[in-house]
Amino acid sequence: MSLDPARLDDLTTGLPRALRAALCAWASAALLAAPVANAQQGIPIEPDPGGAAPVLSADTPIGPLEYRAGRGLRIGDTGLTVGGFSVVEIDDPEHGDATVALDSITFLTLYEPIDALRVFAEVEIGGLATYDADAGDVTHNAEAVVERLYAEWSRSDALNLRLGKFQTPIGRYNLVPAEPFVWTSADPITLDTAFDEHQTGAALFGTFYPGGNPLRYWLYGQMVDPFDSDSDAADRSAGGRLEYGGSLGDWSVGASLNASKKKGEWQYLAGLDAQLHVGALELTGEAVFSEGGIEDRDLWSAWLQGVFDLGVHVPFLRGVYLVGRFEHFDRDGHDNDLDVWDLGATWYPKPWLVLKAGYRLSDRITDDVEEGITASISVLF
Amino acid sequence: MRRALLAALLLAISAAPVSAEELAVIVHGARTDRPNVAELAQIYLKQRRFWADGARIVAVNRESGSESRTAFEAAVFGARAAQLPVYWNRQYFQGVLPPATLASDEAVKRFVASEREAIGYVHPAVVDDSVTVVLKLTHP
Repeated sequence: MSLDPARLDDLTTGLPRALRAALCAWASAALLAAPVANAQQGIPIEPDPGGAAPVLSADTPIGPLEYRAGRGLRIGDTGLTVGGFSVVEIDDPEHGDATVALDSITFLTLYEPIDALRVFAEVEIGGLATYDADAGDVTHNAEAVVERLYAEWSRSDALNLRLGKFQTPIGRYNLVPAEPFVWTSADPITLDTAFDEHQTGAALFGTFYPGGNPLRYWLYGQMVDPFDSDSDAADRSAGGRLEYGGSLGDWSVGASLNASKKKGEWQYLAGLDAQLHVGALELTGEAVFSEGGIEDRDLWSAWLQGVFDLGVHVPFLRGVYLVGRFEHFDRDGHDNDLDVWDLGATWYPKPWLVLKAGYRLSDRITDDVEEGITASISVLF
Repeated sequence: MRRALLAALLLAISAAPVSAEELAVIVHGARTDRPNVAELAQIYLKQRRFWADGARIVAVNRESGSESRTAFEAAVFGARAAQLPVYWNRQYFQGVLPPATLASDEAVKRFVASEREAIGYVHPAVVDDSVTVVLKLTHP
């Protein structure tokens, strides 16, 4: 299915002439920019619910290029959309040097040749430049990492197959952990220590609707060596996740299981998570328990995060959120457990611009946690 | 006299403008699916992507800021409509883009009338027998 400009011209008969012309031109551009075989892409893509019209639209031999801030560049009729985000981080720890870093530029590439198939890649170029405010010097340690690369085949809501490198579906934070899309500049400690962020292998996932409420499942395995991952990553793993929620997404609960193997040693992890929306408040919590033979991974932890949308009660503050999170982290074998508080605010002046500032408090300073100010500026492009 | 008054009353009722916030959710005439409000929310969040017969759902939005769009989001998502930009940012990270848009209710109706997979919403005054109304939304 596609939207034929000639037919759209017919569809718009009766509208003012200028509106018809604009609508037909818009639809023609979108048609040329999209693969004919792709039903979802046969009509113009919406910028976003709070966003703007295309800031760039140009005809080329491969069809029009259309760029929308925070939603990427659609490259003619190739089926490709390229976008991404960039992050500047400002850290001022209590016991260290203050730094300002152009932390990363991340490119997201989406290829949808046909309805049932998507190919997706996330490539991060990190460590571009860090300015040490106390030492007064700038360091560079640029490195490109393929964070995700997968092909996905969709048969139905209930049956989807993903092959490649993808986020490990443990809890909900790790599904979308990148800086512009989370509420705090500092991640929960659990995220960096309890399990691998990515899997390289296959995942079967989907959603059923028993009684109208969504029941999501994931079954996955890492059957090959991890691709472009750090040396701490497990060699093999398998796991699953179930998530059940309210029909309008106002609440959900989830459970995750994972078994991973590194150098012949197995580690087993179980996790629970939940999210609840009450008025202007979003509450999210996760807990994990991990035990086995992989070094430094025997632990239990839990965190609870609250996000309050100030704009619900004060229209002037629309896009401003107050954020607080408490995390308890107990790694077996270490002398003391950790209690960490993150307090801060997030502001979306535009949907494609995210500003965050926060302060991290802890009852102990370790290799995993520093007290101090963390802030970031993220731009989606 | 009574008959004249009744006729005048009926005329007044039939000519009364429909509330600007009232919307009709429409699908192709051959489609038997009848989504409720919760399913509609899932469809427009691109969480529910297939019709019961296995066809891909093509949800069509009005453009951002339009009266229909604002009323639709208020009726379907309630107070959480304000969170949609954050939601779509998170979907962007996963390679999922928002539903497509058309620039008038008339264009939405004609598009839905011609495509079996499509679903849209329009002002009730725009509806004719080329499409099937599956749900009426009212936002106070």
